[in-house]
Amino acid sequence: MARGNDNPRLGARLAAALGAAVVLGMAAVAMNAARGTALAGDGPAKGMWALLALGVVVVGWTLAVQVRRRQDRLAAGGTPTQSRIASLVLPGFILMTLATVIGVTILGTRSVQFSMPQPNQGVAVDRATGAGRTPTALPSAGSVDQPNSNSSSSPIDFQDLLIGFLVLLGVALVVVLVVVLSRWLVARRRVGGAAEGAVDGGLDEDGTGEALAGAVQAGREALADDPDPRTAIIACYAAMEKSLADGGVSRRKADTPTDLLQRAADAGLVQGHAAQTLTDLFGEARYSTHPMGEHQRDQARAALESIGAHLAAATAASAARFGAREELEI
Amino acid sequence: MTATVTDQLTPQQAGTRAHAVLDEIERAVVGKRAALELVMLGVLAGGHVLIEDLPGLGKTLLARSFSTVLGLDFRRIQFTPDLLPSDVTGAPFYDQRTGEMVFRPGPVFAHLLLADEINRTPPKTQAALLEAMAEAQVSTDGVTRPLPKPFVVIATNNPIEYEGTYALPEAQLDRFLLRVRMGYLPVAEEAAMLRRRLDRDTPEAVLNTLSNPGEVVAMRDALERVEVNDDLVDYIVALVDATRRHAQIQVGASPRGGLALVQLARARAVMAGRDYVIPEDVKAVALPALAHRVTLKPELWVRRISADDVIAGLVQSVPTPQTTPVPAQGRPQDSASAVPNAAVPNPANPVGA
Repeated sequence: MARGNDNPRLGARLAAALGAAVVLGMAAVAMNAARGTALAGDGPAKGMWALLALGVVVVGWTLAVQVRRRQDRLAAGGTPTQSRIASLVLPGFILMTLATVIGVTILGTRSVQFSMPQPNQGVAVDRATGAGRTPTALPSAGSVDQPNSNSSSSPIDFQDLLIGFLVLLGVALVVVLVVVLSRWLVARRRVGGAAEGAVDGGLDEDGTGEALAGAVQAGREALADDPDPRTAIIACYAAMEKSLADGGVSRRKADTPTDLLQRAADAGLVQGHAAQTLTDLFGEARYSTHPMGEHQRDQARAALESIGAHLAAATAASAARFGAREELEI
Repeated sequence: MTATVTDQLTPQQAGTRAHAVLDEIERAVVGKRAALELVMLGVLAGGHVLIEDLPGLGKTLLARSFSTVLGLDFRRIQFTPDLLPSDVTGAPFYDQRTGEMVFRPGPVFAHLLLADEINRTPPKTQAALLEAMAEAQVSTDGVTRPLPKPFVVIATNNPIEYEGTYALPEAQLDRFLLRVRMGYLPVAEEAAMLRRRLDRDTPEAVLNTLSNPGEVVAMRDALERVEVNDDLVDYIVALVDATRRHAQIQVGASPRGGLALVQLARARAVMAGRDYVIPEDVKAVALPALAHRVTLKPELWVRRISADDVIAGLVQSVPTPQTTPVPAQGRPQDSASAVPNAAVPNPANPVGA
């Protein structure tokens, strides 16, 4: 489940980054394109550079606050590498915001000057003789075909470019939609197999009931077959753990039996004292040197039967909810 | 509940008596069962307790209540900036009648010492407690004097005042077995506390003495009969090691931290009436046992991340023992193989500090 959630989030992040890059690129071109490019000159949005800079600051500030909140929430998790990377995210946001604001300010306040000397005009220096170092006067603006700072002089119309960007954006959106849709269809087909640590919240119509019944049956067999009550009780608890995992509540690596039991109870998979009794018996069998006798084995068996009965009832309720299905024997 | 000296108690008996003590203390300290249990764990585990919280939350009342109900000799030192080490440990003075120098014991010679606002005194005086806390003895003028048994220091620390305070050095913090935060009462509990005050005629509830020093020692001895599985020892070591490798921690927990975890987990098992430790015991005491022993990197102060946050996250990431025991090389096949009495040295001097 967790992995399933991460991938769309990653896709959304990539799409957001792409969108931000496109918007910034368009904004830059709309304000002031560098010389030598097809759109060289001031763009139609040049007068609104302050507004754009303000927008960048607002967006940057919002993102920084969100990142900070999330870091505070997740204060101490993750590997050392993840922690180091996480500690760089906030300064990175601030630096990017500053750099963007400075860039927008420069683009908005400076006009592109086309004062490059033409081949036959401008400053003439006789490199060979060293003579003629006195610069000659530049020809008047009217006498030279010099591109002025008006965007109308650009060989490409800005609106054409805007339409081009929008078409590209539309294509990108269609691609993203197709990818998301295909992933959703694949995930839908791949039903069952709860991911590690996922809490699905109970029984459903996809065959979970059979898995639970199988796990309970495995516990019964362990209790009946193993001559050593200690080993039998541990195997029985392991069967309950597996049944919970099949029901959507897997054991996380840092879980204690009580943690697992609590999550299973929250998910509605276990009720009453049976699971607690089995957990207590498991603790004694697993972590003590007490001699375990037939009495404890009987207690474990009774607890397992109770858990099986609850699971059967839950399965029946599930079947009633989702329609008639093959009756399970638990 | 009898107050007789008991030679030997089973873990179950010790747990029953500990709960009776807590029930009695709870008559005076209302709504703080979790904090009371942690302090009781510290007493049972033979360690010292640092209570850190805001003023007015009942820290001093808690310490006094423990001494009364446990029947321990109680002394209190109000730590002030001008307090001297000899005011804590005692000092020799000239007896004019005999013409000899006679040692006058300081308040540290008690069963239960309340070191109130320990961060108000300079490190020199704080350090006077180091030997007493670690080795239960005081050395003055070349003579070493043992402290009475049991010897428990309950220190209170006010975390919000910086003016005129001296933060406890790491070496001193490490001497405390656990750190307890009391926190504010829930509104309903606070109303009940006020109601109790109105219903009785005295400012404080009068508590009964339910135990005595000998019984407290016997309860402590019961911990030695609590077994610790090898897998749990590995789990404890993994937790302590994780504090040393964590990216946000500058200085991790010392080996004394691991010993504290073992003893506190055993004490929790006793309180639960068990003579074996389970992973829940270790996990439950990891935060109070380790959080005050680690030093975070300075930049985390800006992000307002506390050691409690880091340790809590760490506890949720270190794997607990597997469900099915895995026989390891050089380890007996039997899963519960720790020898209760030999596994852990005396917690009063765990590393010979």
